Amino acid sequence: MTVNELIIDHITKRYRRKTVINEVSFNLAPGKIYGLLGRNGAGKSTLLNIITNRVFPTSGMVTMGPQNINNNDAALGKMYLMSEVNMYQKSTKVKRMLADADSFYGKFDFENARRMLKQFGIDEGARFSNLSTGQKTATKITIALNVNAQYIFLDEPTLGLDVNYREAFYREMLRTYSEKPRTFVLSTHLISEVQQLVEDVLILHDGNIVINEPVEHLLERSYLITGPIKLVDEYTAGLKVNDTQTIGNLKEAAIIGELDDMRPIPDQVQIKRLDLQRVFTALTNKGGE
Amino acid sequence: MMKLKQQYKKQLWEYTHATLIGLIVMAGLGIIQFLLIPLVAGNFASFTIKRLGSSITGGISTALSIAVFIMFVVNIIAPYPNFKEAIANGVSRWTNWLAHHLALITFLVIISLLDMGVSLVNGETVGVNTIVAVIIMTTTFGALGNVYGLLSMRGRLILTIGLIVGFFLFAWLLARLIILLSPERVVMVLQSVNHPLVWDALGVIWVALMLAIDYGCSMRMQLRRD
Amino acid sequence: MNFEFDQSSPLYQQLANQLAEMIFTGVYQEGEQVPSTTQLSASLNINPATVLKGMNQLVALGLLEKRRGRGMFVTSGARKKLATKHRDDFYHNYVVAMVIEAKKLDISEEYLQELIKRGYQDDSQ
Repeated sequence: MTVNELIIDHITKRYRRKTVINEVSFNLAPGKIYGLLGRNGAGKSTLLNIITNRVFPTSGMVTMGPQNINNNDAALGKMYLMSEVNMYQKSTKVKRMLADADSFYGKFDFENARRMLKQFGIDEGARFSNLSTGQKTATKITIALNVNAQYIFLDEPTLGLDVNYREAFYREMLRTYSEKPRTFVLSTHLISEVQQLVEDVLILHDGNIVINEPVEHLLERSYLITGPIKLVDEYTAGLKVNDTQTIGNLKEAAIIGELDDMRPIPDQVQIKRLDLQRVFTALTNKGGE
Repeated sequence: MMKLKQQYKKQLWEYTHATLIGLIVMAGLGIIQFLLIPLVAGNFASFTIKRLGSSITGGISTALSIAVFIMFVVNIIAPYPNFKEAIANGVSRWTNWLAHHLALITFLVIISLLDMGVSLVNGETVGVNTIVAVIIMTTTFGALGNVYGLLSMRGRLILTIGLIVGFFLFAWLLARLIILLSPERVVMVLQSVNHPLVWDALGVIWVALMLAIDYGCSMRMQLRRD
Repeated sequence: MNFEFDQSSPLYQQLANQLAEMIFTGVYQEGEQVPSTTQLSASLNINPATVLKGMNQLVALGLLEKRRGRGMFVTSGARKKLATKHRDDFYHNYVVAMVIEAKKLDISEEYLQELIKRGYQDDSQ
């Protein structure tokens, strides 16, 4: 079965006067793990809702292969979104949610799902409303990781999970990804935890996709220049500095982009690499130079 | 195709399930009533087969009324929750709409057949008037339910209040109109348009309009922000 | 498996380096199977593509070999290759830096050699 790319094509979403998503375009390749990052209210959930046809865009479209996903059973049958929103009525039992995933997507991995539910301490016969926040999330991710779809969208899949359960989740995701490669899109605040899980990263900021590249590539071109204020300013003059921090006499300047290789580096100035979280804050803090 | 089948089964079960609950409640009350009558009447002669027979057909009639009532209620409150469950499982709005209406038709056909059966047993003439009325009411509620599905919390509140106020306003206006024109004239006007075709045509137009609104709203339904 | 990662270099590079070190120190013997991409990915919570890139680098260096349907194995002669590489690295990482530092401190080549001799003597005592 050939799986088509999912193409997000100039999607715009406006609510009254406010443009939440502005002509956003990117492709999602089959069998890759993506990280979708953005600040609170950046529009990540809205974007995921648009991709999965839960919400309509103001303009633009989403296609899978040659077909628009709108109102398209074949395309929608290849996608699955889990988010904080409860799509089922509160009185629904967990086992009904699993049964539905099987009847509508087919070939649900009940064995693995039951094992995972047990791991998270969830009773299949329990009513959804009686579960804690963490258990609700755990149920949803259990379904998401075992449903037979090619594009799995996980919107804040760690809500309410403690560190042990989060690690268990990452492990389960990587395990099922290795066994059945498919695309996972992880939208989360816990950037440091997902840095090594994802292959490509998408950063949504001010309604635009400002970063769309492999994590490794992004980190290779990100630098932290530290040292005395004057020397750092001299070294970074003319370069595009994304973010700065001044502590006493020392200054830190984050640059995501090109350095001038011809410039000599003063002894007191250090050039270090950044982790994904620091790159993210540098790119999304307001008031960077 | 499989999804349509699955969704259809799901929707049919929803109606059946809701009706069964309603029936069980009513049956419980009915049984209690049935048992109490001889007690109240003071003699057990009233425990005849004929009584039982008429109770059964009476029971079925009641059941049908309940089923119809459930159908109306489901049509008003179910569109948005059904949409959410459908889209959560990758079912398109079109398939969801189709499955729902197929289930509705199935349900209606069963009810109609039972209703006709009861009429036959009771020796009454089999008529389609009830069925037509049920169709008109169901589609109207369906359209209403879908309009509700599109609105926000505020919108729904405004619409509900508007409908209630509008209803009373309409009733008051009608009363005024009848009083204004003398009753004889009203009867004359009614008789002039009392051609069965006129009413049939109006009925068909109304149902078509309701279905159009139902469909239009279903296709535009989105996940709400609240 | 004791891996430690930081921000100093790409993840796949660190993985490759640390795996190579394990081969050099004999944690994985020549001819022995190393953990699969899936196993490493799951236990370290690292994207399989990254793990694969690291392991492929070791394959390219001739330290690991893929055996169809069975997994990745340490090649024979891997330790020798690593020893050679470590010696080359020694020159680049230590000697070059030492010479630069010595020049900064105005230490002549002859004096530097004396210092090195002294270092060996001191160490053997």
